[in-house]
Amino acid sequence: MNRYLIRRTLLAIPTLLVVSVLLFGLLQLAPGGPAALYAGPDAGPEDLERISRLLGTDQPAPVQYLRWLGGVLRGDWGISFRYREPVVGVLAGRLPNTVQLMAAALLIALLLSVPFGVVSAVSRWRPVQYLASIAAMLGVSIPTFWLGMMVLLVFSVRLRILPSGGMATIGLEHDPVDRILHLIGPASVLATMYIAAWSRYVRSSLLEVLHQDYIRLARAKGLSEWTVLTQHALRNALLPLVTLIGLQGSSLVGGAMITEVVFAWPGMGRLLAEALSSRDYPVLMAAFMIMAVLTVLGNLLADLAYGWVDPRIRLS
Amino acid sequence: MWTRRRFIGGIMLLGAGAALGACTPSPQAPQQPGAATPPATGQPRRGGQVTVGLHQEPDRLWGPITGLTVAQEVADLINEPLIRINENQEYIPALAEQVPTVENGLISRDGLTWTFKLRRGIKWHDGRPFTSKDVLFTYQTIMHPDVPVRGRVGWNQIESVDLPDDYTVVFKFKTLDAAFLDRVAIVTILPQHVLGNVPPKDLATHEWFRTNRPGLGPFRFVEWRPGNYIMVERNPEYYLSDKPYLDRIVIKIITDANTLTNQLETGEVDIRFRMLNDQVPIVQRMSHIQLITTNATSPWIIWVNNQDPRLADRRVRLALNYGFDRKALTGTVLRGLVQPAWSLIPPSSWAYSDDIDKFDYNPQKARQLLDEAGFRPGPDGIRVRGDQRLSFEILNIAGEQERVQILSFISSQWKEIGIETRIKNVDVATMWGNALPRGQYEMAYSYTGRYVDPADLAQHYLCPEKNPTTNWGRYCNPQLDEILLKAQATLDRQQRKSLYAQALKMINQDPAYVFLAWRADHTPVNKRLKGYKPAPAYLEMWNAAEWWVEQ
Repeated sequence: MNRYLIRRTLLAIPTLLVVSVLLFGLLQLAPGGPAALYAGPDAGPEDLERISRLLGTDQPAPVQYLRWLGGVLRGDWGISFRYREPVVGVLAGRLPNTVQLMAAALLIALLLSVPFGVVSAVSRWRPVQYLASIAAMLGVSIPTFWLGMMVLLVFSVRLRILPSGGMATIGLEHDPVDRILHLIGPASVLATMYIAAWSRYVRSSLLEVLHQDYIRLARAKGLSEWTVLTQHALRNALLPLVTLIGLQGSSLVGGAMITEVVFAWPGMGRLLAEALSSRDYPVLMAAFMIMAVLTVLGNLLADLAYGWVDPRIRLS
Repeated sequence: MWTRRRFIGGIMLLGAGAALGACTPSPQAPQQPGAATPPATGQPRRGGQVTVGLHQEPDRLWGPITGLTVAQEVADLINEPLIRINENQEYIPALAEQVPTVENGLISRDGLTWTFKLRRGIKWHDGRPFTSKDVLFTYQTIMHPDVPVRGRVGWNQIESVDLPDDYTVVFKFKTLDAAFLDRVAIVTILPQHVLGNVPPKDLATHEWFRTNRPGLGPFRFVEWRPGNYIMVERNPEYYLSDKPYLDRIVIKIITDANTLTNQLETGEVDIRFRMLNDQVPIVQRMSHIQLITTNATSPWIIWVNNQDPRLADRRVRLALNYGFDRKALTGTVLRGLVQPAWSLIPPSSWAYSDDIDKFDYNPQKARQLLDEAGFRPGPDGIRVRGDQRLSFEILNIAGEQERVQILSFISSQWKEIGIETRIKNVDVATMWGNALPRGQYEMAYSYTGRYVDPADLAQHYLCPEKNPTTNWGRYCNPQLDEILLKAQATLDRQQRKSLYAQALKMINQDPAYVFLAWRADHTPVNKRLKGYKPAPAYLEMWNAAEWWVEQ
């Protein structure tokens, strides 16, 4: 087990290095260099040269990459082009907000998608099946920005029971009730998408498992349907969901750009959108690298969780 | 040129799009731009709080470093420049006692020596006195090679800065800079006692540029929660007695246009700036909101790359200008919310001359011009001359539905005279960082900003070898250059006026670009907020010290 962990961790290092080279290269390929953008339209050629030197973008790309890598290895993620502030500080201002939002959304989704999936799989009553299918289709296909706007329009503007965006009422930052009220809108909009998708996975995977021989055996033994479902079927049916959730690790940090914009949530998604359009390479590199690490980590955790859920693939 | 960088973000959303049909006039007659009146003012009263909605997050709170209007506006609230520009595009004194002119003797006859007399007794928010040393330090910082200040056009013409005493600053120029006051107005003063000992290369990352604490302005910095809000409070020692009236201003950062509009409706936001046309009908339905619309001094423009052999032909550029209906564009497509434009100088400027062709829609004339230029309709109706085909790509910054409506309208009319155009959406960085400065485009659609002083005209039209900053079309006309240079080598208003009239006429007869319409600045204001004055050529919130709330 330990050796497996060490091996996986060591394997992650070259993966992350390759990812960082690819990301850096991709950013270099984007049209519109940062220097011209930061020098502004009033800049002459010597201004451009000066800004480019100050940003470090006057060096050839490999040199820039090595400088960046050297800094990162020493724990220095560089200075944001846009905010002229250490990248760590820029991210630290946004990261907790996004983690809060995404964790709430994923939790709601997890709590609701499993029962929804199970009900739609085992119910023999047709209307329930149809209803579940339609709800799932709607949930997956409704664009988040539209749903977000509708939530705001109905609950904030018309009914005035939810705040219309932001993270907290100014002056009430430490009031937990106020915080939760602000969280309800964006978290449920985000969760809708996950619930719809995940409950379908649970359903189809449960249906498959329910036709297995060992389920028939369990029923033949005279176990109650409840025990069959919870003790025998569900455990195996949840396997694909574990992988799915593991892959969401990066979104915990990457946030949800559109939902954050619509709900004026000060998170990473908005920061990333802003950084992209202002060619803020240091911020982009740092954010993407954190996401890459979390994706690798999420995969690892999912593999470990497999062993826990399914003893057949326990790792040695 | 800050107005050009007004990146009005926001994803065009379904809800707003559904609220208005493209060509249906809104049920209520829209207010005529320029005709709007600020809210009636009663007796100002002290106290209260106002919430401002910003569509964008500011970056660094100092004009010369930031490219964002929103950042300059927040800086102008907490800190103070030597002079400001009022709602009538006039310079007014701020930290300086008087606006320098030749008449009051503060500008020398030859225009090369500019003297600023500073108000006495002004204190930084930390209680330290403000003196001419702060002004000198500000200038030195702008010019320091290790500080990431953006373009320094104008500032680099200064030969020396002298401080005869603590309250006098004298700028000596190598060449006359007629637009110097425009540059001074957007530079807030740096506190030498705080930043003087910081190594220049660390200056831009210094915390002061995120807080402006201490500043000199009407409000003091309280806190900035990134992505969330910035809060400022009343400066009780502001140099204008009794002002500011408000106790506090909260600046909320809300990047989504619809969310911002929702918050106006719920009263969570009192005022926002530069609202897009498509939100106008929605806001007009709100009984507690007054919409104030002013014509900005920056036009929508289609940049034309004059180095393209097809577009180098004057007749083709004239045909582009005659070939679409400006009045239908502004009156129908834009529902009368904006006014048509045909030059870079707005009709409200002293340098405007009306003696120019306004390019009334004339497809006959456009076709004739193209015929003369040798472009004949090909089998598909698109005109060709040898291997040259009048088919162009127009770059557009993606994100706003209205831009696409405008371009589609023009495109369909150009097609009728045999010119084909395709819209290509790009992002902000590609447009301003690549396509325009490097001339890698055929046509491009954007705003262009300008200063109050017409000297900016030269930056748009001087031949490329003279290093103009914003001649994105690489247009060149040596005769025009002569007039433009003459016009900015003097401060004599009458002489300049007639020279600019000549220049406008020349530009008009050989149009380098296609002007479409003046951008309208829509400012919805909650009726509880009084005293707001628009800033057609300057920073919004310039008179925030005079804002007050009822109750």
